Amino acid sequence: MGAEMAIRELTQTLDGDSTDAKVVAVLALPDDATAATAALKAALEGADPMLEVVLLDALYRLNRDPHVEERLIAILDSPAAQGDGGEELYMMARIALNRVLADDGDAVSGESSAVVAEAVLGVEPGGLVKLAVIVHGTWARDGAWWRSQGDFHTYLKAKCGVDHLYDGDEPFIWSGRNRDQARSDAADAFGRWVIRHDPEELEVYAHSHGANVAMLSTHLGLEIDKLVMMSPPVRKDYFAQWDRVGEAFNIQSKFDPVVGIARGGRWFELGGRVRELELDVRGHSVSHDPDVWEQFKVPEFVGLR
Amino acid sequence: MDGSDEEAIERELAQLASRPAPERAEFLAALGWSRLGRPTPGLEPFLDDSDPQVRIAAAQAVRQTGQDDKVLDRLVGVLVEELCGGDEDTALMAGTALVNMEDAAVAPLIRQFVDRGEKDPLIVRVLGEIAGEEAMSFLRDASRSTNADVVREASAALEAIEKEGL
Repeated sequence: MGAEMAIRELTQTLDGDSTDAKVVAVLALPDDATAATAALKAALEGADPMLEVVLLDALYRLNRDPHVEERLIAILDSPAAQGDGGEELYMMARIALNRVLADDGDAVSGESSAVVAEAVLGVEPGGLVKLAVIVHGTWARDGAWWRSQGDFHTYLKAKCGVDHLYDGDEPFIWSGRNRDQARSDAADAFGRWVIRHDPEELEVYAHSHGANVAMLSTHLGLEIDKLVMMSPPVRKDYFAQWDRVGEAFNIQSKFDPVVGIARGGRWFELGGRVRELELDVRGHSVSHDPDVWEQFKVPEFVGLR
Repeated sequence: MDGSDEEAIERELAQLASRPAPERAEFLAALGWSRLGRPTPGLEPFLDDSDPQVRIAAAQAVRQTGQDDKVLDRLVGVLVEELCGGDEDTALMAGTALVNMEDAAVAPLIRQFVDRGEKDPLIVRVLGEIAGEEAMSFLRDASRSTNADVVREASAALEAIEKEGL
């Protein structure tokens, strides 16, 4: 989501009554949305503690406002955070304070931003060291390739050493509907799904609009250590919050008719932030074809070999 | 887009037929997102191209040129053929082109559904993604169909639309 659109959405949401919606809108603000500063400061007045933490965190992200540190420490020490039921608030404030202290070279500890999302989305963590997951794209929820026993799933696990690839009974599935709203809902569901497993390290292999689902989830606080995007329709309104993404890869075929018709670009062109590879083949599904991965040494490109 | 641009496009289109199918499809897909604004006769032959993806890209490009209902019916017909008969990528490409047409595609799609024997679930899926009043009314009827695949698609679409608050 671009800064202008995010600010517009934020302004509308801050006028409403839903604290959850306000939290999500503030978390979605990109770091360059400095024009939102006044609205954020105004929203501090009367905000409940959870929203206050998110607002303070945003003010720091946008402006490196040094005054937020003192207030965050006060919230951490408050009965609301220290008392029964205050765990989420405590975690949120702690993470936000960590960001401030990290810039001072004085980080407190290394909680992942998944903890922030956990607090926002309200789900219980599971606790894994490392997790990889495949996110299917539009119209692919009934497909086989991404499921356990599917050809790409089997290939990643058996031939590329991704033995931490999820193969349980509840894979992440979204509607696959060709609508922005469906992708936005899926991003929320994906965040919840990941947090249920609470990995310390997360790898995502995402095809088509599944990549956009994964990128949107970073605006809800999810942190992705490795994001491998296969034939994503590249649109700026779906860009990740890049400081929550470790390594990012974009694999595109030479001509992709689906991306062309979907009005997506093929390249991020972010100066190396996303490493990009063009495959000398045609098609949309070829980018998750194991034979194509072997032919064009994709495992080597994404650091699996 | 001024007159000289349109003349240049017509010249490109005249040479396009001799190029490989991927190049034809890529050029037409790009053209489909430009604002042609007026009839471009050089596009029409590509609706009968030998390559299905070229036909789909041509249909989207023709859609940009402004046309009457008869032309729209033909475009939807071309796209439905690929939607219901193509491989996975081709069907998704055709479906995306139909969703891009938004409400204008609804009535022709419903006609296609009826003419083809009321059995193609992917037409139902596309109508569910376009949504809108007319499509919703169709979906409610389709959810009572005797065809299980049609019922499944229609019901899933109605549920999703309700969830999405459309």
